Amino acid sequence: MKRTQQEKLRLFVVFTFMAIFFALVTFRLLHFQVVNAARYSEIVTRQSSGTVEIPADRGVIYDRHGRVVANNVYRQSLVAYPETKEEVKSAAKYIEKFFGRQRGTAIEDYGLAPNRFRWIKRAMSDAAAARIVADAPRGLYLRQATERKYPFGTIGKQILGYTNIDNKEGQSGLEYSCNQRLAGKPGKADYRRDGLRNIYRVREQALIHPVPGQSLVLTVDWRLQEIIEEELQVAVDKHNAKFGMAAFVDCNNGDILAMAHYDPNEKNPLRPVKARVVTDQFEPGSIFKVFGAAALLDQDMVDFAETTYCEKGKFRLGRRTLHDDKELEWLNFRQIIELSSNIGISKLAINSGGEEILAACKKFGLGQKLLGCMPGETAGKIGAPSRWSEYNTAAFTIGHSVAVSTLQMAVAFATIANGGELLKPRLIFGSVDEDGYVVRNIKRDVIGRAMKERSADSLRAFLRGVVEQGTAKPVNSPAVTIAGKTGTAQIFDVENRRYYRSKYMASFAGFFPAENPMVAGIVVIAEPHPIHYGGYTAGPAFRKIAERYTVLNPDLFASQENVIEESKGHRKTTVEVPDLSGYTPVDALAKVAEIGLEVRCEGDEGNVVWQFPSPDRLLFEGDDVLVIVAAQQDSLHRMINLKGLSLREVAAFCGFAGLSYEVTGAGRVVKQSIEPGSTIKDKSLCRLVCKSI
Amino acid sequence: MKKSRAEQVQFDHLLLAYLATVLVGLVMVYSASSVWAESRHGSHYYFFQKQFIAAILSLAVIWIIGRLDLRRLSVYSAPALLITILLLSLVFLMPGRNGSHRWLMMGPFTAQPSEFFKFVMIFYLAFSLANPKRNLGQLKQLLFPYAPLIGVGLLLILAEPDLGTTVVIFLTAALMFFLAGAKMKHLLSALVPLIGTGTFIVFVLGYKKDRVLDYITALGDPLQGSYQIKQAALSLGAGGLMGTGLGDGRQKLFFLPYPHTDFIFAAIGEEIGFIGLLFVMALLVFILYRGLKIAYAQPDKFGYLLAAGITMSLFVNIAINLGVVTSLLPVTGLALPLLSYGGSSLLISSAMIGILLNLSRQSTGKGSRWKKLA
Repeated sequence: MKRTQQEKLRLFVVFTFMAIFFALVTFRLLHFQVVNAARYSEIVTRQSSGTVEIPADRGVIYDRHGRVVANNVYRQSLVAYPETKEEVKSAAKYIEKFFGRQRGTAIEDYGLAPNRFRWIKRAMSDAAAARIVADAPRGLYLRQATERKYPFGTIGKQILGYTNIDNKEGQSGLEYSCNQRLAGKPGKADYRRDGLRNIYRVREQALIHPVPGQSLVLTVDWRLQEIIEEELQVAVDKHNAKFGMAAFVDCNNGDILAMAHYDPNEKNPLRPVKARVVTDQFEPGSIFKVFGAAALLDQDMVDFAETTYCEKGKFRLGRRTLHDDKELEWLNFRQIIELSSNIGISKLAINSGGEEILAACKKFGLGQKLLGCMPGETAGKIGAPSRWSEYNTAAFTIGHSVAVSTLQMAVAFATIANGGELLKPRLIFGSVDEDGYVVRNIKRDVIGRAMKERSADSLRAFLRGVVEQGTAKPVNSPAVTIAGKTGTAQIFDVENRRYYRSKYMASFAGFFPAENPMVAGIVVIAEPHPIHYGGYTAGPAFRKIAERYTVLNPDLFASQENVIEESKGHRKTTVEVPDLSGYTPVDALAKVAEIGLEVRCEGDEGNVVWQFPSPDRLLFEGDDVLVIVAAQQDSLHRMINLKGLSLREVAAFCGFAGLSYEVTGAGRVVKQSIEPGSTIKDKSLCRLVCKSI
Repeated sequence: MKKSRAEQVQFDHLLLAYLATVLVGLVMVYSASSVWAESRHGSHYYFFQKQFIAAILSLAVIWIIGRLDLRRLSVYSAPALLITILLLSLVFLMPGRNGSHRWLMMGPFTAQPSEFFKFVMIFYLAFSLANPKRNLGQLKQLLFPYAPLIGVGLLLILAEPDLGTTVVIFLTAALMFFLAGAKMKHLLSALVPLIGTGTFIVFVLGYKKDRVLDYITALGDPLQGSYQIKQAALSLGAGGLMGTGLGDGRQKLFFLPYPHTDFIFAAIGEEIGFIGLLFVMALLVFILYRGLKIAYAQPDKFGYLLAAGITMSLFVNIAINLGVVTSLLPVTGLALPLLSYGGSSLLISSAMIGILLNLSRQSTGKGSRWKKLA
């Protein structure tokens, strides 16, 4: 049967309608799948994939003996990422219970909301993290992150600095300046995620492994660091000072062994902003005279026998007056240094000329950024005045109108201690490679010769004198021979453009052991009162540091063997000097021979009454021990034969015998003004002529 | 009911199209559901297995329907309709799922009475409207008995609530009246008040106003639409011309909602692209075209109305699903016949195809059984 006309028509209408509908859908699909395909598929890619950074482990920092001073620990942090309102509620409830908070406070305090990420507690204890793993509701998660740990607390923190909360960026100190080396390179992983935010990886997706940061080995000895920080605190507290600074370097290779400042008002010692030893400058005052003296010595301007009139403490130069602390009269060069006479050294410097003194001072690295690896390092300020008037020359020589950093002073004194070579100070000994071996990346670096070796020898003897009989007598230690120079500088009042009357920068810079210097350093105490002299404030702190470092570390100098090998080019073994007092010459010889030393005996018969070096000091194998043998106590006061002795030995002997001495030339004694065997009168002067042999 | 030789060897390409569509459906149900199945049911074959069993049963259903004499059975359509209405009211005694009562549960089996209602209603309408005694030109004859019978069923389905199925059944019925020859003014007089009431409810009373406004926005830019619409559009777009490749779709990983049921068309579009969708749509269009052709060729009005009604039901179902996925229509939860996961849906759709195939064999017959009977 054929369909009726109406049925045919209506079938056709329906068919047309169907055709139109499918055409419409096809057009719609074209719009989605062809026209907008790129845009839509990009959105799909975005919503279903992501990139996650794989953090690189930050490098570990070691001290020179391999102690870990900065490392990372993995800590769990609690984070909230609730997805629904129910999850927000249960998470809030859990947080309130877990942390013992008041009910109903968590949502507001932590800003909990659906699909919002919130840190709840960073760096939780492992026990707390374990509890959370066990029973936290959905919406609360643990996230593992590394946290920087400094096992020594605040010790050395000014050197190390600190990192930000993510342990990614150093904020101060080495963490800041060496951030690139320490941080390494984070890796990257592309991942996919599904609509429920589960994350999965597809093998073809990019994965870049992180490159861990380099580990650094510092030259700092954390034992000494601890000692100086303690002693600084003691000294600052004891002398009611504003703050204190100290730096100690190995004078044979420029290694910074310790440096720190202590300020009782420091805001947060765990997050130090700067290392003032490197960043801050101060007017050095009298310790600066040493460089003037070095310049004069180097120019052969000094006749050790000649004396200078010190004007009884007041000396007019033009419109200004120079002052000494005491009314000094006629002093020789050695005494000028020992008693720190401003007038004496100024007169000598004026003879030489300011230009020459300035040039010599610059050779000690003053006015330069020597270190280069700490943020904010100051170069100090040292320069020619507008005119080298006599007063300007005098002021410059006694350390006015000059600014130095604490570290610069330590390095400059190391230069004097090691015989005149200015060494580039180094803080980073090397880095640790992938296999765990230490790669030394900075060699001992001699910047230049600052002074002649013989000048340095003489100067060292004088600096020993400062401690033995000069302004730094309280620094003299039975445990370790210290040499150095005190400084008591008035602090400049920038506002009123004059010096404060009663604000002082007290300092002591020196080295030890005096006869074979190993460590040079400086202690600065700012505004101590009522006692303000460097010799009585900074000096004793220096002495305590030197003593503790020596006493607490009997192997101290033995451990420096490799350093000596490096600097001198041959290996020597060190031995401890035995106590020979009371021995007969023969017994002493036998005793000393056992351990590979030799004896030089002065005196005919009796027992040993004095020896040099003193017991427990270290000598190289084959070195001499100088002993004085006497029958009775009073025969000490007879002159011995000094010929062939080194200046160190002479200095030691003169100190022991109460003699003053003057030295011409450098090296070993060839001539002495007081004949051997003659009686020594108290404080008589012995003139010596030395020559390098 | 002996058949001539010529009738027995006759083969309709509709069967091929049907088999191809079900096969595509099986593959895509597996691809789209495996991750869901794994995470919700512990086995990624979970949905596929069920669908596979339903597909086998469907073939059996087609085979059985092929041997039935539909015209003889048609006299039972009125009591059958009453039984389905009874079943429809039974769902309210069953525990609900997601707040709706759509399913009858008998042990491990679940069934949707609304699907049976749709099926039986088509049968009943074809039977009843083909009655030569009925004068379709009279409004009274149109209203009774259809309005109360179908109206009750629709109200029950609407109350489940299942708006999508209600719309499908209503439109199917309306199209059947249209094809049967009802007057346009009568049809319009039924449609206009309905559309008016709908508009009043949505825009004045504000019921589901957001959803409608959302639909209007999505019509312009689907990315501004609701989450489902946005993800469906993104899935299609991500597929592009050629698709991401079978199984490589990302949207089914919990971005696209119901990727194996209501939104399977989007999931297919992502994995086999525009070209693939054209192929799938060609299969569906061919099935619908064959349905109309079979209707056209029927020797009697009953066959004509039955084939056309089934075709209209399939079309309305397909159209609403495709319209929703391509954001041409507002969101209603409706499965795509033959392709979506769902045993009831597949069995009913297959039964419909079975009827079309049954009728197809008789369309070229010389005489009409109905005519003979009459």
